[in-house]
Amino acid sequence: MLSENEKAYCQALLALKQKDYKKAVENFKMAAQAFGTNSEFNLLYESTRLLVEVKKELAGAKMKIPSEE
Amino acid sequence: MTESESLRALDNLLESFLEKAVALKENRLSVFIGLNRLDDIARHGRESGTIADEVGDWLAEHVNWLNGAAIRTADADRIKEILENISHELELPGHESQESQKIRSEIERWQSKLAVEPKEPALPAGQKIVLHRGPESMEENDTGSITVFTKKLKSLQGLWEGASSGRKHVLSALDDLLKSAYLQHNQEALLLSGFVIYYLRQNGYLVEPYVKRLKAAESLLKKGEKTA
Repeated sequence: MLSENEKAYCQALLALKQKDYKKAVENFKMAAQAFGTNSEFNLLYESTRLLVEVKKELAGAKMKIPSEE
Repeated sequence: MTESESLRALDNLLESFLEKAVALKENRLSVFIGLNRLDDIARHGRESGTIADEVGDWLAEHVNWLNGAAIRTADADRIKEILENISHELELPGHESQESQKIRSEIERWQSKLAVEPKEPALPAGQKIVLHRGPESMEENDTGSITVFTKKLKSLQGLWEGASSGRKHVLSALDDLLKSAYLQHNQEALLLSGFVIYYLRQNGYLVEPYVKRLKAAESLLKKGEKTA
């Protein structure tokens, strides 16, 4: 059987493939307990996390524009 | 460039990077996903009562794994292990249908035919170690013999080359070895970890955390042997 961490890593990669970045971050977070020292894992995790933050910022900026105008 | 334009550029860059990273891992990803799905079936199939149908669909969907789409030894071992659990499940009362019998024979076919790739140089994240299986039939089984020990040393050297590839420090490779020993129940990784820890201790490193992890992996391996 796969461990919960391994399952989470699989789900994270699948979510990345489906471009569901929020779900990918949630699953990477769960998998980090076992894979957190792996540089490739961290690169994917941090890049996805940054992307989610960037998307949040962009969505916030879009919301602000109409009220500012 | 405005802040919004910078964010948009970063957004595009990261999306493109992740897309390419996933594309590079496409083959491994399909194995991971298949393995994960099979694991889900084994865990939840019995509750839903549709385990035979679900396994049947899974076997049909992944039949190319039998037809030359070779997968890694460690993954193949895991698939076989999960299929074996499912096969036992299908033996239980309530699953005596003809379809269950058919699935069990199909599982048997998979157990004997599942193709395995000999070695892969590129290693994905979280799977830094390639497990090397020993020969199918050992000519000599005496673990005290020089031949057997020499073979083991050679095998450990191969394992070390996989674990240390692309690493800058012995501790990083040790970390991967311990993970493999713990998560994949890899006995050779456990043996090699013990050797590396002793080497580091001899050279003045503080190895207590690694010793703890070694003991945890060893105890897990022993439990596995008892239940096997």
